[in-house]
Amino acid sequence: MDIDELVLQAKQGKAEAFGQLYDLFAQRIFKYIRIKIQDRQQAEDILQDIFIKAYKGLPVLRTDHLNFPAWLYKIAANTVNDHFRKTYRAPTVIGMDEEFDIAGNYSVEREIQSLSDGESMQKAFTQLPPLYKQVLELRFLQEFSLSEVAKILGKSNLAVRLIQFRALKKVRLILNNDL
Amino acid sequence: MIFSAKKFKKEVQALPKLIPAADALTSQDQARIKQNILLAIARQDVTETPVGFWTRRRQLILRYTVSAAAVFSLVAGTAFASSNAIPGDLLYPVKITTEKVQLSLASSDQSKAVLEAQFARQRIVELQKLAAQTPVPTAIMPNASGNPVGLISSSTPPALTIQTPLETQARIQANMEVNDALTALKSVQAKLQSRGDNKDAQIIAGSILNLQNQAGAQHLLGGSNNNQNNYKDHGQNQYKPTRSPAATTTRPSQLRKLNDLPGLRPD
Repeated sequence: MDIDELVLQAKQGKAEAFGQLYDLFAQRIFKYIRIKIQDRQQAEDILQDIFIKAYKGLPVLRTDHLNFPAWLYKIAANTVNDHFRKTYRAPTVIGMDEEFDIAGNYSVEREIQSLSDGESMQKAFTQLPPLYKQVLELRFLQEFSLSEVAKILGKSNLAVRLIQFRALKKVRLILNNDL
Repeated sequence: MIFSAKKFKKEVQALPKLIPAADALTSQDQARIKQNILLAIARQDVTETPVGFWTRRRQLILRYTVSAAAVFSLVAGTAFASSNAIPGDLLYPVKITTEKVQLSLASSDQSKAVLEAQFARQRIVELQKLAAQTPVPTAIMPNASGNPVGLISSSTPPALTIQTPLETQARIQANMEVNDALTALKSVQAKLQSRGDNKDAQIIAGSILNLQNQAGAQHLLGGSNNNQNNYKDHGQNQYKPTRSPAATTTRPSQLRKLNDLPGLRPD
C-alpha cells in the first residue's frame, strides 16, 4: 500500500494505517530529531509528540498535491523548535560542581585525534551547527527538494541553498581532516 | 549556478558514513513508542475533536468581529438613546459628549459653526421640555388678564417665575451655547462676505436670525424677541450680547424666594 493510500485511511480514523505510516517514517524522523536533540530520551518523547500531532492534524490535511513526508518533517521541525522554546522559558538549575569541570583539560580536538579516521569524521560531523546538519539530512539523505526543505525549515530557497553550500564546504574540510 | 552543490559530489556520497549509527532507533524502542502513540490516539478519539488551523483562525476572527460589533452597537445605541435626553437625565452627559466629539470632528469653521447653532437650538428645545415637565403651581398661575397671581410681580417674565435649580443651570448653559454659536456664525458670515460668497453668507444670516428668534422666545440673551437688536458688532466680527441684568438668569435671592412658595420646592 502506498503512502497516499495509508494517509487516506488514517484520515478516516484507521489507527492501523497510521501505525504503518509510523513504521515507515519513525526511523527517519528520529534521526532528524537527533540532529538537534542530544538527549536520547528527550528525542524519543519528541518523536511521540510529533506523531500524535500528525494524527491530530490528519482530519484537516488536504490530500490534493500532498507531500506527506514534507508535512511530517515540518511538524517535526516545529515540535523541536517548541521544545527549545519551552526549555528556554523554563531553564533548569544545574549545580556547577556536578556538571562542569571548569579546570578540566578536556579538548574536542584531542578527543577526535584519539579516534579512528571514520569515528573522528563522525565526531567532527556532530560538531557542525545543527542547521547545517538539518539541511544536509533533508537534502541528501531524505532527498527533499530545495523548496521542500525551505518550507520545512521556514526559510527562503536562497537561504537553504547558502546553508547547504556552507555545510558541504565544512564536510569537505572534515573529509580532508582539516577540521 | 551560485552556491551550487554539484561540485560537492564526493562530500554528498560520504554523508551517510558521517552520521553515527548509534543515533538510529532500536526496533524495541520503535515498537514501544508506537504502542504509546496508538494508546494516546485511542484516548484522544474519545476525548478530543481535532480543530484545524483555519477553523481556529475563522473562530478567532468571528469572535473578534462579534465583539467589535457588540461594542459598536452598544456605543451607537447609547448615543442614539441619549439624543432625546434633557438635563437631569442619566444619558444627558452622553449626549453632551457626543456633541463635543461631533464638534471636534468638524472639518471647517463653517460646519463647526453650523453644528454649534444646531446644538444651541437643542439646548433651547431642552429648556422648553424642562419647562413643560415642571408643574405650574396654582399660586402663580396667570389670571384672566395674563398676569401671574401671587408674590411675583407682573413684570417678571413667566419663564423665570417657576425655575428649578436644574432649569436655572440649563438656562445658563443654553445662554452660553447660544452666545458661542452666534459668535461662530457671525464670524463665518463675515469670512464668507469677505470672500464674496454671498449665497452662503445669506444662509448663515438666516441661521443667525432663526437662532436669535428661538433664543428670544425663551427669554435668553436679553429676554425679548427682538434681542437681535441687542447685539453689536465691534469692528472685527466681534460679537458681544448686551445682557439685560434682570432677565438673563434668576438671581439666587429670587430663587430662594420662589422656592419658599408652597409647591415650588424642587423636591
